[in-house]
Amino acid sequence: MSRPRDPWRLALRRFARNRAALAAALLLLLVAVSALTVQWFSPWGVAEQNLEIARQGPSRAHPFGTDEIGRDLFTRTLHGGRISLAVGLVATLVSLLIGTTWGLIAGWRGGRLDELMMRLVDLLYGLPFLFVVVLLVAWFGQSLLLLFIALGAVQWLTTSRIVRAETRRLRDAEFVLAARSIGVPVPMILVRHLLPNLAGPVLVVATLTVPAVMLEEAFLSFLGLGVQPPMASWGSLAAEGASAINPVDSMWWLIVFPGALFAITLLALNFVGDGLRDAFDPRSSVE
Amino acid sequence: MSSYLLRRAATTVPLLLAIVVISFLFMRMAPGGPFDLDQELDPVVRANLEAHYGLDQPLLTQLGLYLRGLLAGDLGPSFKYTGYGVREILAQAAPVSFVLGATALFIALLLGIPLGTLAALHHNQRGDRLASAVALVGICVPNFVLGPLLVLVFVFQFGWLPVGGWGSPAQVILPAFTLGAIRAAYVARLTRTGMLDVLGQDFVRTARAKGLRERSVVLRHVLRIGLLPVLQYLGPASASILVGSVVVERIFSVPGLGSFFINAALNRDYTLAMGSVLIYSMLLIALNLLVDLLSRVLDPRVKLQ
Repeated sequence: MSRPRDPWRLALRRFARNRAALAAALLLLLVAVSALTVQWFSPWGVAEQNLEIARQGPSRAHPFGTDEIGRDLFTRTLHGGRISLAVGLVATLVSLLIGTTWGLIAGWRGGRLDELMMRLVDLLYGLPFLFVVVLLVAWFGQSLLLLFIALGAVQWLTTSRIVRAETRRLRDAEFVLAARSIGVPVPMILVRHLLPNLAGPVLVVATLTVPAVMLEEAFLSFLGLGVQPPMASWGSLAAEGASAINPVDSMWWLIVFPGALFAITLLALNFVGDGLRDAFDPRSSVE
Repeated sequence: MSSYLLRRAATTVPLLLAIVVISFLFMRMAPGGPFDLDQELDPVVRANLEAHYGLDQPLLTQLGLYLRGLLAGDLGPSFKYTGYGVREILAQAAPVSFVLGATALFIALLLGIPLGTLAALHHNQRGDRLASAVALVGICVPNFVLGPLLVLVFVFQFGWLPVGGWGSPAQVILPAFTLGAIRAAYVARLTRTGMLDVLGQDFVRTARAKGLRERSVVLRHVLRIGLLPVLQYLGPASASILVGSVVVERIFSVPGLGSFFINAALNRDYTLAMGSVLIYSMLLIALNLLVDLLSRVLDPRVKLQ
């Protein structure tokens, strides 16, 4: 990998020079690692109830306070991060899988099929798909797997458009023609020659998809359609927090802390996405 | 123009048909049904109910009957609100959601456009940074967090506004702001980039060169073109407001489409849920069309395809 103009290296170097993006990436890593390791450093269990310490505000023992039935909110919030981040990753992977396949086929085959497939994408863009997902999840039961797939299936449209455009551009590139002329089978060309070149743009779309699906999961969980108790996600914690607000004795920390962590994570994802976009789009680095 | 409208209409119909068929199939494949209550129904009563709603017919016949009803504007009876038609319920709920959504959109534009304009005019100065930071934070606070926080502050802390419900103008403010805030942030960003693009163009220099005051250069020449990205965003914005209003209506107990839709989905009130999805889809398609037509009005260079 010592070629001077290896695009991945260049991109990585450009990304590393972007301080905001780098800091955001580290922050994300920190959130992810603490979400995964919370059971080792937190003295409280995620579902551990203790009515003697219920409804307490933030303190040294409970940095985020405790809820109605005495569960430690700090532990629960970090635990909830697992679901939220997992949804972000898995649903994004699902969407990339569908979108890339769709775009590759449409872009490579071209002609009538391309026309048909992309018209369908145009049409689907105009539909409030999330409502269909609500019906799907409400009527078929709230399994986490279904949630992942349904959310990913809603988000593949942009990916497919970008992959198609890139595929069309690359289809006639010289290195592809060379591969075809020596008889490399088409699937091999797609996998070995096109996919690596698509990785950059796809990665950039993915950074936009992750926050989008995380918000959608939170949306469903807030409505009680996503993850079910005793599991928690940032959406379901926010729902608990919202319902705990009342004129007499609001437990403000129940909405503030999960909400803040979610917002910070989204913010960080935003910065990382911007950084990657700049890193992969050479034009933007000229400006 | 009219042939354009015709073509748009021609793509809309199969789209709505697809939505209806998909949600109909979901509905019939889903386990359970509207009559699976906590208390087991008498089999005879159940059979009668199912016959009454046509649930005993073959699947395709039911679909055909439903589609024929749709053509006549009949969305069927609600399963849960006995005695009410889906159309009556939606006709009551839709205006509520419409007022809420329109106010939210208005707030988004009212806050976003000036913020973005200011940022563009002070490009890379402190004002720009501040405006962009505000916009970024606005994008990252989800509405289900913002809503409860606003209630906490403006209702319970200061007592300036009512906690929820619907009917008085004061009750519109908080939900509409909750719904509009994120959109305002996007609008600000789009306005900023759009204006920056235009500010560097020749016709702006010409306008300045012929001695126009900066104020009229910005208001008359730059904004008009610089706002095109914002206009394009109104379609997706309306879509996300429609979706977001489901959550906001729940937080503020607003009796709009969203609350009926969620309850219908949870209670397996099939016809009401399908009717809501249909209304949402139609609203969205109509809005997108409106946005495309408006872009054409603002910038004659835009071609309608």
